[in-house]
Amino acid sequence: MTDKLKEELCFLETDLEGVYDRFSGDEELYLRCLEEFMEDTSVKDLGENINMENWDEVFTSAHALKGMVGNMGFVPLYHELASFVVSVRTGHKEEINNRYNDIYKNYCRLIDVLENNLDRRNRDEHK
Amino acid sequence: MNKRTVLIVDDSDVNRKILTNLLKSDYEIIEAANGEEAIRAIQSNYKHLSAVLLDLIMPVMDGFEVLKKVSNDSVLSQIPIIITTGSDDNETEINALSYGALDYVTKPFNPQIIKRRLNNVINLRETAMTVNALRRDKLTGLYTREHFIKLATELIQTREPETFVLEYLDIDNFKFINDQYGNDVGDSVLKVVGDIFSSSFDNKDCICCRISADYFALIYPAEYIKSGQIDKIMCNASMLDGLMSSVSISEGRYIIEDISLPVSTMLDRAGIAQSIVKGRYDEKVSVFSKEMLKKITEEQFVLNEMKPALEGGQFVPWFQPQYDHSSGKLVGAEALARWIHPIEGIISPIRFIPVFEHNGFIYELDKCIWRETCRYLRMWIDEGINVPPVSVNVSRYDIYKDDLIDVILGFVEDYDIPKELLRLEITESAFSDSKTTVIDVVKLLIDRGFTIEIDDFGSGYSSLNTLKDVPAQILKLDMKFLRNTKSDDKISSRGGNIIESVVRMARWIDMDVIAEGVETAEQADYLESVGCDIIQGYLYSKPVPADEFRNVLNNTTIERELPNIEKYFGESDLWNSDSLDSLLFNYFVGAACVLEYQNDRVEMLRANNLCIEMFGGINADSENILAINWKLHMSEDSIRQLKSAIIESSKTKNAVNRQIEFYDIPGCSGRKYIRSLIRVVAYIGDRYLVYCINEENTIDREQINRAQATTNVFKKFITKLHNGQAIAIYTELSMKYFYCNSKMLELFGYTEDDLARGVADEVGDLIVSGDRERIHRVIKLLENDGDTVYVDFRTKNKAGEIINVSGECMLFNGLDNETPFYIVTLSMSEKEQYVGGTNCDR
Repeated sequence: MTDKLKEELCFLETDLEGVYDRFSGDEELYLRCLEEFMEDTSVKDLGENINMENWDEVFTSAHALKGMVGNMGFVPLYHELASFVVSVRTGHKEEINNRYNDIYKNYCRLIDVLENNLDRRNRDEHK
Repeated sequence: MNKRTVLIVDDSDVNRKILTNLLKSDYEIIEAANGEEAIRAIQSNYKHLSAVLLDLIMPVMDGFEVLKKVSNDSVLSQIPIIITTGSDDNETEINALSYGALDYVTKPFNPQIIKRRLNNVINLRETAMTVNALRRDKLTGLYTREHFIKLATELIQTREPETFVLEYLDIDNFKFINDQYGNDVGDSVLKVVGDIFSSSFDNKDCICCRISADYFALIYPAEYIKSGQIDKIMCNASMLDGLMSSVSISEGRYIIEDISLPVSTMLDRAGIAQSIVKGRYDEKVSVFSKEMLKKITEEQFVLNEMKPALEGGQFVPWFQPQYDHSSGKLVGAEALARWIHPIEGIISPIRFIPVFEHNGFIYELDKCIWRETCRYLRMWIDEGINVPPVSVNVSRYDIYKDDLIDVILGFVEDYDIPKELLRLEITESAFSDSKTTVIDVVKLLIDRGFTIEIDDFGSGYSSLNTLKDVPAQILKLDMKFLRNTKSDDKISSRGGNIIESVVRMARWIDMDVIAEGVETAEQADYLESVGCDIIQGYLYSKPVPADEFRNVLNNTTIERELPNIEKYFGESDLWNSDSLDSLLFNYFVGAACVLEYQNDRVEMLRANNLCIEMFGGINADSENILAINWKLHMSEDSIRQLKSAIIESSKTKNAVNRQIEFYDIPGCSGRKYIRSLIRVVAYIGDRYLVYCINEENTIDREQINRAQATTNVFKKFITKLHNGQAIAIYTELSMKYFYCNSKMLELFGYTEDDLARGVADEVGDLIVSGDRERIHRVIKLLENDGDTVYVDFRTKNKAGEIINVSGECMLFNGLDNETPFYIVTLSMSEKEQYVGGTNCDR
């Protein structure tokens, strides 16, 4: 993992220290998981399910996403998803939409960083 | 060591990768992406799956569904599950735990917490499995022996004695089931029986367990036996629910009479009872009794003591002589093993031979007896005694010892014994085991120069075949096989024909015959008449110690006279059970016994039921009474009394009465006084056969002893008084001194000898004539029992001088309207004494 990527992830308040611990220091595995995260469509699916008011699916995918981003060390996104799950439970639609927008923005920033720093070819090899 | 296996269930590939990466160094990892995959993985890997890490929120089938399915399966539910959940999700966690999850971990994962919790649940489960394995039998699901003991102890500790039964069960021929149908069927049988027990005894007062193999144990209320419930359950268990043909179950019961006993001991007792009926067709249930324990304890005693006894030289040969009945000459002997125990005394071979035959120690015993017999033979030969052949027993178990011939030859060579002097007795039944082997051994022994006797001929199933095939030289006929009934000593006409035929047949094939167990002259005469002259048995002699046998050997030139029981007993025979004498002995003479007496040694040879009851109580066993060493329970005076009676009876040929005192008779506390009518019925040298009719008078004797003791105390008291004191008994006819103390004697001028010789008996004669009438008049006025009057009178002393005497006279009407009598207590001091003649007449 390049220093630039680390720097940019840190800028986005990623808990790299916790990540190293959780991944047993296996940087390669983390990189592979980052690439999987880039390919994962859960955030986009979440938006579609909100639009369709398919609340069970919203809850399930938000819950799943929360667990994954937490493990990936994306602390702000994790907290936003945690609040989002609470909102889904309470059923405030406006709040749900607002929180999803925050999640999506945060997600996009992360994806930008990852796309700029991870070589596509490498990514293909890792797949 | 193989790694434990963990299943990771999570729909997130990233989460699975993180967990796999985290745990792969310690565990084998299986992954599943949803609930359905998880269930398939659990079902196919449950045998070696140590734990499951389960995400709850998943597509296709969520974690809750997985938990439900697993918790409904008794086997799968044993696998510990940890759920992985968000930290903000308390309600979900509680639900998951209520569905059977053992623990949870939160996301984002904390590696240390995950590893620790995973390790904890795996340890917990494995410990629980270990504990369960200790408590439950894996195959049947019944309790294990250890846990049964714990539960049974708790169950009975507050119960009344004899209200519960502990039962020990065994499936007969279970080995056959395993061999015939295979171990799987055997296991199924155990499982079916176990299922029937667990469903039949499914209440708080019953516990069942599988002890091991095909042994089970139950504890249940005693009333189940009376109600027939137990029989019904056993019948169901035996039928095996159509699994195969029925099995037979043998049951040993211990009715719990002592709740303080450890349950393991109760199990042992039930096991002892079960061993009695194991394998029996006709009887399947046995209830433990103290006699069983006694038998086992005796066996254990024998087992514990046998080695020290062998090393300590406690096993010795005794010799039973064999005589030529026609000439009365000693022609041989049989060496028989006797155990002389330092505390128990002589232990009967019946107690130890069967145990030794069972555990193989018989070979050690036999070798000891062979060696000792050879040693004695050598000793007697060296002393110049004319030694006849002596036979020793070779057990059927010895035959199969590889070194048998070398061992026997070794003894014979070591002690330089001519082989014709050591004969070998092999029991006929040995030939039915493996005839070829035994015959081969017999041939080898004969080739080496030994004489072989077939012992107990007639006891086997194919005696004629044995005669045909076995090249033995001597047959031993045991009379006990040829009697009419168990208790009859007479030879029946059929038995007589058999003996005659066997003797004749033996002669045709050039074999000698020795008859053993001969007890009566009638038997011996009969045997002689059919050509069997050599006799061994109580008629001539019972087995005797080596030194006694040596004395017998020294007298071999003297033709022996048969002990002639008829000599004193008329024509009938006490030893025949249907004789008049036996009838009288058993039923009409009271408590009767026959003793053998020699040099103060007293042995009871026979006792009728009344006699056994007299000495041992109602439940006494005749064997125990006959085995008593009576000398140890008789006072020296009683032995003297018995001896003098025997001598007197043998001289006068009459019965003699004696009072005999016994003490500490086994099973009978205190002293026992017996009035015995003693008659000698036969004797050989200093050995007497004595017939006794006994009557117990313990109560009378004790009263007499007490009265005697009181009299002694009284006399001692009076003797100590300073004044002269005397007691006399006065009747209309006379007045006699009953007792005078020494002072009174002194005043009268008499000695104790004078009194004893009756010199002063007639006190009345010495009273001055006028006083005599006066006394008579005064005391005649007394009417009631106990009335008293004081009398003074003058009497003469030994020197003829007149002395004054004061007395108190009391009336006794006597018992049962007997003639009244008066007790006169006299007293006199020296001061009162008046000597003179002037005022004699008042």
